[in-house]
Amino acid sequence: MRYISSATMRWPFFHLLFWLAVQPVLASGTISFTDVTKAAGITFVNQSSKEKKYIVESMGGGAAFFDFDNDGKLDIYLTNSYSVDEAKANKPRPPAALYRNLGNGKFEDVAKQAGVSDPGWAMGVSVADYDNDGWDDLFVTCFGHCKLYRNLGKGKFADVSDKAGFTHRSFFTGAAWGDYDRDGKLDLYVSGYVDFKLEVLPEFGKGQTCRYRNLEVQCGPRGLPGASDVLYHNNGDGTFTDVTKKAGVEDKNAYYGLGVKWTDFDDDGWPDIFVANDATPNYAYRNNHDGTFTEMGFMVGLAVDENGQEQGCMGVTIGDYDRDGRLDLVVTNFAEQYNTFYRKGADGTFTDVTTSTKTANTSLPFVGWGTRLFDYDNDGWLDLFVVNGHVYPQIEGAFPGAEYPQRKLFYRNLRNGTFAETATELGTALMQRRVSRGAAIGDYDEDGDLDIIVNEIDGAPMLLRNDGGDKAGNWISLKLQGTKANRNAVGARVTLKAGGLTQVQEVYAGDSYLAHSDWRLHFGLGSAKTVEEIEIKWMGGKISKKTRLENNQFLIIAEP
Amino acid sequence: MLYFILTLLTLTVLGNAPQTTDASAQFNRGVALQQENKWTEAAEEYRAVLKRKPDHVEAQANLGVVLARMGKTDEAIIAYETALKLAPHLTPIYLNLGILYFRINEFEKAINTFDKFLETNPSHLQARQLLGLSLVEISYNTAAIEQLVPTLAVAPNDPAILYSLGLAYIRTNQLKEAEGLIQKLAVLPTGLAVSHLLKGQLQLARFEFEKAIIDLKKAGELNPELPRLHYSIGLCYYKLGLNKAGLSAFEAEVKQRPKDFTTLYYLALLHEAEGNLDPAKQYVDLALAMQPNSVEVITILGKVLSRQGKNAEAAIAIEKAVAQDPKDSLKHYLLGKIYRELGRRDDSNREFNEARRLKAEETQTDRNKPAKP
Repeated sequence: MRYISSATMRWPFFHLLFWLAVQPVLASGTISFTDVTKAAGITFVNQSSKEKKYIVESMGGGAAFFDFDNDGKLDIYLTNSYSVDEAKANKPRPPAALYRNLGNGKFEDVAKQAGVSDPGWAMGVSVADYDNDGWDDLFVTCFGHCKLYRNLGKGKFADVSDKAGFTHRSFFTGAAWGDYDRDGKLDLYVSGYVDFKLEVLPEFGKGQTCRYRNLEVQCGPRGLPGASDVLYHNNGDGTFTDVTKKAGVEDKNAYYGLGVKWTDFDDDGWPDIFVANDATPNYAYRNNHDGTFTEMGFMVGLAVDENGQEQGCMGVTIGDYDRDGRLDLVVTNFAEQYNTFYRKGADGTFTDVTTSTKTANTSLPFVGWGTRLFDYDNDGWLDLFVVNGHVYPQIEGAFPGAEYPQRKLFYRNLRNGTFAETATELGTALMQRRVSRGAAIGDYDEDGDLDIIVNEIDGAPMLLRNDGGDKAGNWISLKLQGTKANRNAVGARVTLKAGGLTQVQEVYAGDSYLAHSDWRLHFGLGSAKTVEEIEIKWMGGKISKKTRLENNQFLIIAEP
Repeated sequence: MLYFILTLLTLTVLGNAPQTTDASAQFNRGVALQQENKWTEAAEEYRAVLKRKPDHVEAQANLGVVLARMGKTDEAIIAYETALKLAPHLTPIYLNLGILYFRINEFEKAINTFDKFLETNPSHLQARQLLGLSLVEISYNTAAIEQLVPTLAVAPNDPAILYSLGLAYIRTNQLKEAEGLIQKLAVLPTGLAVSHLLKGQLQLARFEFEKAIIDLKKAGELNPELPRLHYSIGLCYYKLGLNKAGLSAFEAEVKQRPKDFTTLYYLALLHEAEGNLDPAKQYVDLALAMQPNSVEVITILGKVLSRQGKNAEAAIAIEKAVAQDPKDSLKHYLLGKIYRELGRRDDSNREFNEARRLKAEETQTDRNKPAKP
C-alpha cells in the first residue's frame, strides 16, 4: 500500500470489501509480536563494551522508523555504540545501520552508500525535514559532536553539521524537533547528560557514587557534573543558532537530561518542551510566545513523582490513555522506581496516577528506557509498551532476581483507567531478556497495525512485527503535511471522532528514548466502520476538518 | 527490646522503718508477703501503710516493685516516681524505674534514669548494658557503642549485647565490626536466630534486600518473635517497592511491638501509598500519640487528609511540617499541591517555586551521594 496524496483518495473499494469479508474481528488474545529481525535481513549488531565500565558506554542505542527515500515504506536507522578502550586505542567505530525497506518484509543496509554509517560516538536519533524540501533529514546525538545529515534525495545524505552550526561538544542524548516560534521551520532541542571526559575518567567502582547495592559499578550520573541542554533555532538558511540562554532553557542546574519531547502541554497552540532528567527533577518549559520559555515542571506536576521525589527518568511518551481529550505523559525510570503515569487534569496540571493505573508494581524491577503509548489491538484505547535493560552488567545474578538483560513490558489498556501487564500473552519475543534502549513504533509492513523496532545495546536489535492487531479492530492512519506549517506537521493536533468516542494525538519529532517513530498518526477504531470527523489544529492555529471517512486506510492530509 | 535480656531487677527496699508501730508492722508484713511472691496482698499492705503515712518512701518503692511484678507497669512507674520525689538518694529505684521505661519503649526516659543510677553505681554492668540498649533503640549509636563495648568485655557471649552492638555498628557504617559480631553470635547456643537477624540487617544496610530477606526469614523460622525481625523484612520490601508485602511484615511487627514508633510510621506511610486511607490515618494517630511533633508523620497526615478531600485540614498539617522543616523541597511541593486544590494559586506557585529552588540546592548537595533505592 502506498500513500495516496489526497484526503479523499483511499484504497480501492473492492479491496476494502474483500478485506471486510475475509477478516473477522479477532479478540486481542490472538495478537502477538513476532521477532522477524533475522527474517527481515537485519544483521546489525550493537557493539557496546561488555563490562560497561563507563556511563558513556551504557546510554546509547537510538532507533528510528522513517521513510528516507520517499518510497512510501518505513525504513530503519539504528545507532551503534563504542567504548572508551576502543576510543583511546583509536579503533574504528562500529557502523550505524540504515535499513531500506524492500517492501517484501525484507530490508537491506544502505548506511554506507547513504553516508550515514559513522555519525560519531552515537547515542540517539531524531528525524525532521528541517529544510522543508520534502526529504526527511537525520540528526544523531553523540558523545562529542552531534551530526546533522541533510537528505539529498536519491538515497544520499550530506553531513552538514559544521555548516549548520552543530559544533558544540558534549555528551548529548535526547533530541526533538519543534517549531517554537511558529515560523514554519523546525527548531531543535538537544539534552545534555553528564560532563564526561575521556581525559579524566571516573574510576570504576571507586567511591560512593560508583557503587550500586554494594556492587562495584560504573560511576554516574551522580558524582559527575551535569551537561547543559541546548536549544537551536532554525534560521531557515540551513544554519542554526544556539538560543539556549536567550530562550531561558539553559538548564541552570545542569540536570542529567535524557528523553525530550515537544508538546503543547498548556493547550495554547504553542509548543512547550518536556525534558526527562535522570536522578534530578524533570523540566517542563512553557512557551511564552516571544521566543522565551518559563520552567514550570513543579507547577504543572511533571518535575517529580507523587511524593515530591525526583526519579531516574529516561524515556517519555505522550498520549490520551483515558480518552478524556487531554494528553497524558509517561516517563520510564530506573529500577525500584515505577514508570510514572502523569494524567492531565481539567486545570491543565498533571497528577501522578501510577498507582491507580495499576502499572506501578510490575515496573519496579526494571530499568525502563524506550516507551510508547500506542494502540496495538486497534480497539481505540492506547496501550503502553516499555523496553528494559539494566545499566550495570555486574548486577546479573548478584542477588536473587537481579537481571542485567530484562524482558519487555506491555500494558493493555482495560478502558477503565487501569492497565494489565500482558507481555506473556503476546508471544515469546517480548519475554526474551535483552538490554534494550531506543524503541520506535510504526507500521512498516503497512498491514494496519503498529510494529516495533528496538535497539538492544548488547547485540542484535528486535524488529517486532504485530501479527493480528490489524484483524482485532478497524483503524485509520493519517500522515499530515504542512504547507505553511513545517512540512512534517510537527505540533499539529488531531482530534478524531469515531464510534461515539474521541481520540487526540499530536505529531512528534523525537520520541520514546533516543528514537523517532513513524510520522503517521495511527488510530484504532474498534468496530467503528467510519470516522465521523477529524479535526486538525495545525501549528500556527489553522483548523481543518474532514468528515465521514472510511476505516482501514492510510491518508495523507495536506494543510489547506 | 530483646525478649531474652531482661531479667527484671527488683531491688526491694527492706528498710528499717522509723515509723509508727502500726505502720511499721504493716510494712514488715508487706515485705514478708512480697518475699513469698504474694504480690496482691503485699500491695494491699503497702497501700495501707501509705494511706497512713504518704511519705513512707520504702513502702512507695516496694509498692512499685510488686506492681511491676503484677504487670501493672503504669502504676509501678507512678509509685517509683513518687518514691524518688520523696528520696532522690535512693538510687536503686532509678534502676527499677529505668527498666520499666525500657520495657514500655520510653527509651529517652530510660536513658536519663539509667544515667542517674550509673552516677552512683558506675560499675553496674547490667545498668550500663540497658543504657546501651536504650541508646541503640533511639539510634544514638555512637553513644551506644561507648556503653556496650565495655560490657561486652565483661560478658563476651551475651547475645543481647552482641546484637545491639552489632546493630549500632551497622548504623554507623562499621560493617566489618558488625560482621565479626554476627560470626560470634552464630556459634552461640542461643545466638543463631539473632545472628541471621543481624546479618539480614547488615545486608539491608548494603542495599542487598533480596539476600537480607532470605536471612531474615531464616531468623524467623528459628524464632518468629525476635524484635525488629518483621520490621526489617518490611523495610526490605519497602525498599524494593513491594508495599503490600511490606505492610504484612510491618503489621506482624506492630503486633509484637505496638508502641514502636518507626513501625507505626512505616505502616502509615505504606497504607497512604497504597491508598488505604483509613488504616493510614489510624497509624498516623498512633504515631502522633507517641511523637506529636514528628514532622514526617505530620506530613503523612497531610497527605492522607488531602487524599480524603480534606484539603483545608491538610494544608494546616503540611504548613506545620513546612514550619518545622522549611528546607525540605518535598514538603513545599506537597503544600503547593494542596494550595492548588484549594484554588490558592499564588500560594501554590510560591510553594512550587520554593520546592524547585530547594530541590536544585538539594540536587547539588546530593550529587556526590550514592543513589539510594
